[in-house]
Amino acid sequence: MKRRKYRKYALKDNTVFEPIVYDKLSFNLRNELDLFATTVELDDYDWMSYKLKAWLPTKAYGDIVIDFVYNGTSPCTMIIETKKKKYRFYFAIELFQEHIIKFLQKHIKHWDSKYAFSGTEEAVNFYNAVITHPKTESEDIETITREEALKRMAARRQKDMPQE
Amino acid sequence: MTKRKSFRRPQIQKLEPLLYGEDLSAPEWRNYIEVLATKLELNDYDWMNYKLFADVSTKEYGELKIEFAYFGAYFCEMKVENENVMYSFDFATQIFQEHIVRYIQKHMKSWGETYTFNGAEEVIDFYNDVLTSPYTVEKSRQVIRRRKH
Repeated sequence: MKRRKYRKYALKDNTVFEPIVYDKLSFNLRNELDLFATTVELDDYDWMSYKLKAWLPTKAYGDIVIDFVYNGTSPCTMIIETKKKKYRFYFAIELFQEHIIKFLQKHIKHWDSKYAFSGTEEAVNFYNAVITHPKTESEDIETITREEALKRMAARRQKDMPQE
Repeated sequence: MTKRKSFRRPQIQKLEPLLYGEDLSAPEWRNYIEVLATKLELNDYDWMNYKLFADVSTKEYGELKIEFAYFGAYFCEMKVENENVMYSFDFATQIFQEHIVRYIQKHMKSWGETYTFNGAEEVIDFYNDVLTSPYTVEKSRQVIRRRKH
């Protein structure tokens, strides 16, 4: 029987989100306007629904979209969407409150300045605060450990083995 | 000689400033006028596109849907819609700037309080300032549904 060759460490997804330093070196800047894409939504229609979304062309994770959402209930969620996957984090309301206020204050200030508003630095700080906070929980993250990878390979091998 | 009744087209109401509290009424589906529906959108994705939406229930005009929009130009747009008519105005960006900043500051303050944020008073002030400003231009007044007499 021919034995199928498996890669020794066949991890599909080994993404670990680390803090990003807000610096030109951390991003793939194709043009001047690349670090300006943010949207804020403060919806008080029926129920509080506050969202902050930022598009970041990072070098570490590719072009990602970070979505911070507060629905009036604890906890808040941060969804990071990379090219291939979505990751969800749960974090405390206080973090959201602190950073949304900083973001909005910066937004207000820019009205009087000549330059266009760029909220991405605040969004990156927010992201860093969430992933480094001890109480942040994550879901859908597949940081597969070596043991788990071997287990999965073994399970696959067993499934593929022809029945004798 | 008897006067002939002229079948003139009915005049569409002109919008006048509203008094917070007095001119507002409780919407059918809510028991109180204190909490009114507002939504703020600050979109910096491609180009500045800032909008403030509000639903206001009034005694004179019925339920008004108001939209203030700023697109980075030298003027802003206010659209007001009720059951029968759609109004459209162009107004100065300074008014938008002033009121948006006030609205956001009020919003931020409410984070520390127990009550839900109520942007209604600020929206009414904004609306009144637009209507009473000498630089505001009414672009159009369209009937969207004929009122039955």
